[in-house]
Amino acid sequence: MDRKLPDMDIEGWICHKCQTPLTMFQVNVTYMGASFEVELPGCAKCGVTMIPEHLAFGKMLDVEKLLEDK
Amino acid sequence: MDKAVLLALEDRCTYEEPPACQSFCPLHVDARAIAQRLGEGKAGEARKALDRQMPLPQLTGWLCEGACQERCPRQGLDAGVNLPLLERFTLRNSKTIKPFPLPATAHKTAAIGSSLATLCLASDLSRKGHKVTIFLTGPKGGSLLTAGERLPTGVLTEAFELIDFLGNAWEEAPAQTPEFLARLLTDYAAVFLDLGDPSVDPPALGLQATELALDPLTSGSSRERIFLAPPATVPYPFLAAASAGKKAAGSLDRLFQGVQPQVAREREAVFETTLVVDVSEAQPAPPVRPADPLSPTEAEIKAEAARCLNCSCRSCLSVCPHLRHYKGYPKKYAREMYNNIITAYGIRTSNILINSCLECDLCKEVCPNQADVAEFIRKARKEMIDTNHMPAAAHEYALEDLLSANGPDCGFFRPPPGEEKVSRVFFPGCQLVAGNPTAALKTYEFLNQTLGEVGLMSGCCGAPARWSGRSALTGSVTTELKKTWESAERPTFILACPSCQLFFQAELPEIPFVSLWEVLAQNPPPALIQSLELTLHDPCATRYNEKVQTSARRLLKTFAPGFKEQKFSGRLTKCCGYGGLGAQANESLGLEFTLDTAAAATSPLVSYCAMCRDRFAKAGFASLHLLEILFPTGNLQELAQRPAPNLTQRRDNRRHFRQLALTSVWRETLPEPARFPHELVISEELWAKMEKRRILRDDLELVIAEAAKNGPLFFNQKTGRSLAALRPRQVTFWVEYFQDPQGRYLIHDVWCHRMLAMGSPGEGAESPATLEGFARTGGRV
Repeated sequence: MDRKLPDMDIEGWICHKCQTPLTMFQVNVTYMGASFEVELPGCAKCGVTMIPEHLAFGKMLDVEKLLEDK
Repeated sequence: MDKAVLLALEDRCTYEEPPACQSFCPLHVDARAIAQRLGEGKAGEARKALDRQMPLPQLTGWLCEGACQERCPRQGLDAGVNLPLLERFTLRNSKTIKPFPLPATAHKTAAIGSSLATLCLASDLSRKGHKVTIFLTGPKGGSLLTAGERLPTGVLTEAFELIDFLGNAWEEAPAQTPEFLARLLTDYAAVFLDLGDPSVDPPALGLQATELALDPLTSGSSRERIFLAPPATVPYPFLAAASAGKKAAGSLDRLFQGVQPQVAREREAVFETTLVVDVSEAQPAPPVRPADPLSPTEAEIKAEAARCLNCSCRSCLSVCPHLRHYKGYPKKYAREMYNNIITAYGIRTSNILINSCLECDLCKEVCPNQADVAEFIRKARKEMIDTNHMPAAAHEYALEDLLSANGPDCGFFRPPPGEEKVSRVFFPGCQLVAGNPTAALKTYEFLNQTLGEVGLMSGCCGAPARWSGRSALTGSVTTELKKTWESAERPTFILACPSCQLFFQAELPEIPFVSLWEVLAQNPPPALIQSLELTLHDPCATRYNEKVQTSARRLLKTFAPGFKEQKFSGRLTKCCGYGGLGAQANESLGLEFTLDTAAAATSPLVSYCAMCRDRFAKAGFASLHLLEILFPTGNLQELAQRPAPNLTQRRDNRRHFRQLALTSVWRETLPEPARFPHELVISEELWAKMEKRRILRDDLELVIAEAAKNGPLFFNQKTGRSLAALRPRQVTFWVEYFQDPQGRYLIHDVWCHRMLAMGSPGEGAESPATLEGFARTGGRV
């Protein structure tokens, strides 16, 4: 899985709770015992992260399928 | 998994068995491959196939008598494929590759006589470094000198040159006496006696007829270290001679390596193949007679090659898209699946192969040996569950649906209204209720009026749990069902769904049941003759249930007399794609199944399984459930055209069925079903996307309820839309929405994923590989 997600469109999004703009940071992602780091948008203040649609139905789904056949 | 299970399936699949031409050829030449390659215009490739089995092909190929023609299935139609013609064309149009002569080993063999068998022996043996000294008892070449027109000029000389090139030697034999034979047995590791050479004189060598019994597997005689070729009086003498030389070379090579010559040679003699070939659709094609028999044209050869039926067993492959899809056959799949299961670490590439099977038994039905793929698949899935290697995603939705169908807002049991005694219980099954709740309820009312003392039970029998290999979940569903059955004093179940019937047979043998279709055939509702043209489809779960199939026909004959049969029906019926949860694990292949099954029908399909009806409708085919004809809930044309309810509507229909039955039949006062307090606006496009991703309106409601209570996670200052997420189970759902001034939630987009990201909803929750944990919690968290 690519660590960088260059097409990530986070323009305009803010954390609803903290009212702060989102920034990109490294996040640990786990599935079926496997774990790796990806860069995701999120709130630097409270740590809540966003998984955009193109990631969920794109690379993330590919990796999920790969791990399901391990 | 026990290896015996694998071997049992492997044994029954004869796909890898040789065709009759090959098994009956004394040399086991792959005639099928030669014909196929020549048909493609590839003489060089045909030559490779010839070289693999035929000793000294540049000579033997000209002499082959074509024993295979006798067993060619074409023989029954017109005439066997003329392999000698094809072989000679191959030899004329390909190059002989000279072998690389190996240094001589210490093992030397003497041959007496110099006919075809000796030349084949010398050619095969010397390629391995074991040189042969050929003792000439008459003219060089023995009976080959009289082969006459079979051999083009120069062929025999070239064969002799090759024998020389490989380091073999020729010697004039002295007088044939017992002493000569004794000397050879002293000086050489073994002696080969070529009885195909008329100048060889066994009595003069002191050999009795009893000592010359030829072992068909090894070419050995009853004398130690003496090997034989048969006399030229046997049938197919040249093939017999070449075969004897080849087998003797094999025996001697084994002896020189210290191996018993008899070991593992069962199939070197002529044998009966177990390959079953269906030639029922083969067209007659008279044998090609070349204008010039000595020099046929390529077109003539291609025409003769095209007569080859390319014998193979494709019975199951011809009927099953799943078996075809992975480009193999049951024997190959069995090995792949077995390896997949016993893999401790590494990639399990066959998970999808295992989970895509419909377990419909059609392959077993058409297999000449009844190879039971479905049973193997069932064991494989169970083993995957037991060893924690079943990907949860494969069947999760179907199992959730099972739990929801048996949950408090869908599942129920009631004795007949106003009565305590329950003789029978109508169990429509979860899919009928999801597909057409009104028809299901009309059926119940008819049964209770007609038979009396009929209760109603709505829910799922547990079949999806069994299909997915989950014994624990199957057990918990059946335990609940049994409790209800016992509390109602053990009534007989009336089952509408053929899959429920199979499930009851396997998992609930103590519960007596009868098929709804048999009950209705005996007690038919008043007939309203329908003029609609229909094609009857038998559900795959009725494959071995002739009674049910006959009952369905009796009913349909009364209500829609002009109905047609599917091309594949009765015991040969095809599955709609739902069976075995195949379409759940592999949606695209599932659709292929549906199309394969429905496409042959020329009029709207009618099935007596709710899943068939809805899958056909989902794939765009007009279709009806038989109950919709017996108890019409509207205009049949329109009913046949109505789309299959989507996943959300299916759940809603089950809730609606409970509400409708309990209020209208049992006159119960139920609390008003809890309505979601917010209005969600979902576009058609988004509905389609949700359906594809198996996202329900219920899932959206959970996310929106959470957002309404605690606020969304994110807000977009540019678009004014909010983004909320929730992980109610092993899936995180994201909903992007805009709340308009009226408070309505205009849903902009929805997506989901299984992975768990730090900082996103569900963090800290475990992510188990199986659903058992999920099942124990009873569904939604």
